[in-house]
Amino acid sequence: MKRVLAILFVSALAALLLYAAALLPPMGDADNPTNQHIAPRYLERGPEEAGTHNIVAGVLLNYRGYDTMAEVAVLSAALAGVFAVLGKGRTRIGSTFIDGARVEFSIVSRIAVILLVSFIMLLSIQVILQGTNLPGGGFQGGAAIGAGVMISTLALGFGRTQHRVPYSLRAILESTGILAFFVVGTIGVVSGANFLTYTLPGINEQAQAIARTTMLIVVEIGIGVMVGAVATSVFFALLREKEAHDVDRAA
Amino acid sequence: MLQSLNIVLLILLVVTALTACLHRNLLVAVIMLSAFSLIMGAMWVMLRAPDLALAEVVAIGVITTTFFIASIFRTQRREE
Repeated sequence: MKRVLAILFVSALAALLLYAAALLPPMGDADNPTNQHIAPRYLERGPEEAGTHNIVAGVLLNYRGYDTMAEVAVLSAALAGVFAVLGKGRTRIGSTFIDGARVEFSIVSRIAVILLVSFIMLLSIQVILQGTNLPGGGFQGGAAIGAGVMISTLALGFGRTQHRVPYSLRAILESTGILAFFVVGTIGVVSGANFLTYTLPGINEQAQAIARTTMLIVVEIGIGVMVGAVATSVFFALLREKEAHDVDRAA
Repeated sequence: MLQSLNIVLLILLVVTALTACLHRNLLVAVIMLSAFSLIMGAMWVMLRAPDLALAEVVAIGVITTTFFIASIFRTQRREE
């Protein structure tokens, strides 16, 4: 009986949602309000108003900068939740799954990872710093930093990698994201405009473009290191000590 | 040529998504998710959105796949 009621309810909800979706204008139509007002404005006046050649980064950081700030705050909250459930990842060296594994990575894989990780870190730094002009940005570069640390942990062991990224360093980096946004936003208020307007107080108009580019890069770096530190911390928290009843691990 | 490539990629997308949802072995499902993200990355590039392609392949294909595998590793399997 409950099952029939559940199916009826879900079908009614599905029918309502499908009807509402059918009333929307067709996607990509030239008469849509977004294609008439919003998209031409962003595409035509994006580089001069937002200060970036990458329109996506301009929308993320300038036109919709408050949403990006809230997203970074959500990342911090998710990290707090992971720490509450799984612990901070300050495990003793030698007591994780990876260090106690029965099969170690071969020498070929280890040398390949050692060579690759340096290139991955360089590439992610480039993606973060050129986020305002080339495709990429803070989120992509930060995720690449996290991926590089993960590969290094898997192939080279938890001890060697955790020595490079200890908890003290991660704790500082995880707070720089939201702090960068708030500091840059408050500087915008101090210089007389709204919150998160990329202007500096007390300089003339010609130098404002340079100030805006600098503040955009500061925000990008903050986002990048924060996302990298969060990914690393969650990964280290997932690698806690081996359980006692560890014989039949799931496939 | 491009149209047939689109069709093949879309069919592969549906196949990997269905396998990820319906397979019994959890590890196979996670690997199928990673393959899904790779195909989606290719489609984002074809739709001329390189930011999305980068974010999808790195964040979904590498990071959440590793998180899932690390979580599955800590569980046990019991057959009834």
